Amino acid sequence: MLALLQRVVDGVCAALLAVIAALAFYQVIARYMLGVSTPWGEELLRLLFVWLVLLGATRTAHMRIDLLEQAVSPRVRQALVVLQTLVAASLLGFMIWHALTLIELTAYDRYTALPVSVQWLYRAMLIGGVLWLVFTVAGVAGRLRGEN
Amino acid sequence: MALTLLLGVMLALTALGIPLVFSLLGASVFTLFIIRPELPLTVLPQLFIGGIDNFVLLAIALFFLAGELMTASGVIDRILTFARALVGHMRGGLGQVGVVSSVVMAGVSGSAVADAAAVGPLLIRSMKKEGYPASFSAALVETASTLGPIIPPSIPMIIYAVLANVSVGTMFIAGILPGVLIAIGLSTVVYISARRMNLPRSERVSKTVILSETLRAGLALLAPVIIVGGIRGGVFTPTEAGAVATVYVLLIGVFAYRALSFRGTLDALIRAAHGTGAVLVILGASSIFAWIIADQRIGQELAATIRGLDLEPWVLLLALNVIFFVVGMFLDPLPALVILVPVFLPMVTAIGMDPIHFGVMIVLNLVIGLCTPPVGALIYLMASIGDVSPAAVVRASLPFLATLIIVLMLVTYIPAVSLTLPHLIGGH
Repeated sequence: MLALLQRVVDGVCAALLAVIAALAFYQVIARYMLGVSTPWGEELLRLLFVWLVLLGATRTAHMRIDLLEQAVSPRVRQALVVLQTLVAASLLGFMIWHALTLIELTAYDRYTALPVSVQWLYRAMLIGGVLWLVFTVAGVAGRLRGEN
Repeated sequence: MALTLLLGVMLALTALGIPLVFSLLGASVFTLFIIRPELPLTVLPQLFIGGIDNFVLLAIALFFLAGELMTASGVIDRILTFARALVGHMRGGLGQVGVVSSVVMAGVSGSAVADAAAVGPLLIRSMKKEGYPASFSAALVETASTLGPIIPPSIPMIIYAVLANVSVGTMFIAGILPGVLIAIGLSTVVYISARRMNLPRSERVSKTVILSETLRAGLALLAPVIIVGGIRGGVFTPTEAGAVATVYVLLIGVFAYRALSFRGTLDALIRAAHGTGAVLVILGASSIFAWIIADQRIGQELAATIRGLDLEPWVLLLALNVIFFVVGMFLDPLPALVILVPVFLPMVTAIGMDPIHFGVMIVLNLVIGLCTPPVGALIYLMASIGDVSPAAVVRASLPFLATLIIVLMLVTYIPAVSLTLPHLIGGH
């Protein structure tokens, strides 16, 4: 179930990046060869990019310094892993919570050229945050057994 | 006070092994609670997203993708064969091949770790087969990979340009000459070590083979020319250059080299997406951090304090380099940039330093940090690729590191090293 969800997120990330590359390339072609400008293009690219980042972040190894973990006994190491997860999970929960408020606040804000609500920008934080939280908590069992 | 809180909490969380993105976030949230309790907390996701939602930063995802596609399409093989035909016959020739192929790879990708992962496995395998010590091979690829973010395109240069509000194109061009100096320096170290360690040489190949290998690799060699030329000529923005580079690498991978499969492309997309996510959330978290630094006018205060000390500029520059170096020993270049630039940029502009010059200096300094213990991403990557201990990589890398530090000093004290090209062709 979890593995399936992870593969879906990877698939969505790949699709987002492919669309971003294609759209950015199309903009160059459109401007130089067809002489058309695409004002919605930049807004759409930025929106897709934010989604790409927040979904991609749920599936990657994050930079951290694990010198302390390697120096302590297995028992202390397990306690550290729990503490690390708690800090990460509460910060994610905090961001998700305030993203929800922000989505309410921006109900009437719209992009200039793109016909969508600015809510879609903050929904990336909501969806990405929830997935990140799920994958982080689900990864604890493995990390307690000593996998990295 | 705010700075002490920010740094203190961040250091404590980082030392506990919490991922950097969360220690930055945690430190910022905690500091805001204490010093600005009246602030509505919706600014947190707003600043976080605001730090990512920037058209210039899109270029990072695209250059990641171009680099991954390069690797997946077997272009590395071509580059290595080309470099081998060109310089393989010298004593320690495969070492020279490592320097040349890192330069070429750096012209498409903008990340040191991606370059090391691309060039490392193939090159180190051949070097071991020909009798090079594994630690020497690993140390060479490790230090040569620092060219990735110095020679354009460059992910840290893009981030610096956004933070310092300067042109990405100018930063790219400013990195070229320092990159060439590093390549010459590393190549000299290889030349000297080759004699001292009596390293092997490969057979000299005929002029015709060199020509045909150049032609075969030519399509790949053209990519950096398109990227830098296109940006400089005003044909496209850095973001569009990233898109053009991606499509170009895709086309030569599929049609010219016939090595890029659907599966390979998909994997490249996923890896690039993961890499982009890892880098950009750190930028998102640090933009809250940077907002507090700006809100509390920490950079300006520090600038005033330093001006009061009335230091000689060369002493100040040396002190800055030492600070950056120590930070770089523990932090990756990107989070370090986001923390350091808002703090120190006001100070250096106050003493009349060009922000482009400062940018090249800080990027180079922090990138060297990828090769220094205790936390150097490249050390551990190359140790695992070369199947040697991290300590052996560090020991073998000392002469190469010394070269990088000499170039850093040249960049620091001779502004012309970073500013000549931007003045000549960059319109700076």
